[in-house]
Amino acid sequence: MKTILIYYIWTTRTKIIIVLMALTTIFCYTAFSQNAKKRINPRMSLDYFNLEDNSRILRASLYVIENRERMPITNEKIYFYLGDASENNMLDSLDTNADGIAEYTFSEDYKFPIDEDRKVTITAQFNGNKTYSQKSADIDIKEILMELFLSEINGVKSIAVRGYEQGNKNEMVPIEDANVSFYIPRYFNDQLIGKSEFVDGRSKIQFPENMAGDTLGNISIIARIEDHEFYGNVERKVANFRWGTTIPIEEDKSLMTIQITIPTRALWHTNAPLWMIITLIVLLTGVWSHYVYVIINLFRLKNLSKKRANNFRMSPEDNN
Amino acid sequence: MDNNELNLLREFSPQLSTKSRLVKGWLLFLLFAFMLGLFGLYMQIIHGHAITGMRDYVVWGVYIVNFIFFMGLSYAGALISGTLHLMKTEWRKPIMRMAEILTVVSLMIGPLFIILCIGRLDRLYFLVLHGRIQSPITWDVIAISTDLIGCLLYLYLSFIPDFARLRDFKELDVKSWRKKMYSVLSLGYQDTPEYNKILNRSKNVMAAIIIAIAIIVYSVLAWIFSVTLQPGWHSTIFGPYFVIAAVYSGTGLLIIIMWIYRKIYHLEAYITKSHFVKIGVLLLILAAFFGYFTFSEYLTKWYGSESNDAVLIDKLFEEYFWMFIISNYAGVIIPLVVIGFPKLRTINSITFAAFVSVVALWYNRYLIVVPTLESPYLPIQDSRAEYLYYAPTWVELFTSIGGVALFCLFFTLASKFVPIIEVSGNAPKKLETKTASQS
Repeated sequence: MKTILIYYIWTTRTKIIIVLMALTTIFCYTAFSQNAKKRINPRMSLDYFNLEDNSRILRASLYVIENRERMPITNEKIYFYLGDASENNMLDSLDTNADGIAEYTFSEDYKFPIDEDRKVTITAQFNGNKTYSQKSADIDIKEILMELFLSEINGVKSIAVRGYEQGNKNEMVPIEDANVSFYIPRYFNDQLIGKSEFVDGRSKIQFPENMAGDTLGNISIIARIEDHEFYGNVERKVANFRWGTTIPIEEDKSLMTIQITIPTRALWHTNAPLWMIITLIVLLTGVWSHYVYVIINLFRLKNLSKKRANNFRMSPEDNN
Repeated sequence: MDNNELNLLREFSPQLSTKSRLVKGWLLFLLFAFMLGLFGLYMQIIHGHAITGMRDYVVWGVYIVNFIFFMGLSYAGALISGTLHLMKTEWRKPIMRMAEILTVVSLMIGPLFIILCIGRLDRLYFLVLHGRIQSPITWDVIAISTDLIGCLLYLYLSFIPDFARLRDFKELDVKSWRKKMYSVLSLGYQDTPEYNKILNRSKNVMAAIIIAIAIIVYSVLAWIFSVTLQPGWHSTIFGPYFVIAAVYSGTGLLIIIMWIYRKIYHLEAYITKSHFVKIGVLLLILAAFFGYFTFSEYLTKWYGSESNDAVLIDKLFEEYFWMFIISNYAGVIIPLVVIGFPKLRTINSITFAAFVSVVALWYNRYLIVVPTLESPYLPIQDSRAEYLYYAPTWVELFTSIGGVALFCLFFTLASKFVPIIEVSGNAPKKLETKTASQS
């Protein structure tokens, strides 16, 4: 009985069905699971900014690198901690914006609880979700005071900065091992005019001659410590003073007389190019004329049948 | 009607009835699978395309893959049946009908996937009202509708003599409405030189025209991709590459259909090993061409090392490694080896090679559509990083299953409406042998 049952089940048709099902399963598996969404491993950067208005900002940026492009991860919560990522240390939690950035601003009177080395550790953490895995980043910060000065002695123009770290007992410790860069803000980007190193908390460059200002000769200068291991990004600015040369506005009339020819037929225009319309008409006429010919033939077949049926009905009378 | 035709009708008439349990079960299964597809569509209409895996980057997913795949199958059927008809190949008779039905049914199913892909179906008529001739989408709509009408005409022409045979066959055990239908559709055809002259002339015209249309229409479909500035798409060889790939997949499916009907209807006497070998050799040639085009396409992109092309090729060899291997290596090498060596040529092995080619070509379409959209030239602004990755959801899976079920359902119904082997005209040689042995 058992043998008969096995024989009955194990027919050729069953074998075929099993083989087909196995092949289909393999097909579906490779088709739909190979590219199944796996958890993406994001990247995170955390930066500290001490800006010209003395505001202090933590900027966490959450993103992925795909196809060699940086893609922001938006609307995800970032937790900022003072120290390690434990609940007691939490400063705030903020959502990333359209650029994948969450910014935490310290209040004006906030004082960093610094350690023996005069630094404080900040951690930013993204807890992950179904799509992304967890990611965190941390930085050590040393708070500094920085001032920017301009001076002109005997016609020599100089830019100087003074910088101090905040000591454990609120004393001022001069900055060492840091570079400062000087820029003039321009329309598209800031123009670098010099770099120098802090020595005993001071750094100085000579202002280059004949720097272009606006129509009145006004110019602004920015001093920046950039991406420093402890100071992060510190920026100070002096705006609108007349150290620049004036630029007269010249009217270039040739720019005003550009003539743009708009084609009446184009790929992007409402009207299609003529060759395209002609090609389409020729092709469609060619094909549809054949269809019409065949449809006429079908009617001819039908008429032929009608004619034969009439002849068949008439033939007995003819015989009579 | 001669004796051979009468014997054939006697043999095939039970196949035209849907009374057997197996057929009823199969039809019910297909209806169930189709209902799954309808449920998927319902959910998609209710919840919108957010329920699918398609997002900002990959706006064309499995639906478009299925669309291109089914359109390819149809063009293959048209090219094979048209060419064999014009060349008056003697051995074509037992497989012509399958190729013709394959053409029309897949041509009816393919565009349905486009409709699934459209977010606002209520605006579909805008395509007619505001369609621009410059748009490849408009070319495609015009081309597909023209092709569908042409293929339906060609199929109808080839059905007319068989409708007439079925009309005149008194022993046919089908409902009266079907007999009436055969009578109406046969247009009163009689097997006389007068009728045959008109019919053959029409068939010759349509056979020639559907070959031309098939090539043009599939090239137009390829141009939708190749005129677009996307890595992996903007290629001059995409037109012929698509045509070759389409005929390749369609030939594969035709072999599978031949194998299935041969087994189910016991057509061993009509569809012989010789048929499999002949169509198999065609599959082999197409496999070689497909391999050549694929190699040429990827070699030039890889050697050029244009940054976005390099990203795409890296993606294909990393994230889509197995799919790429099955599509472009197994899909070429297996048919070449299996059919290339005469000792390996059996009906089952040729069918296996055909199955591999069909699967490979579906993957090929997937690899053309999805990885390219995942690696565009310019990133989309304010998009989410996870939108860059595509994976079909259950909704797309259900609707795809529904589409495949509808294809099988239409094919089954078509083969229940007319004999799967052409009865009219000259009887195949094997048939004569069989008839002689029976008598």
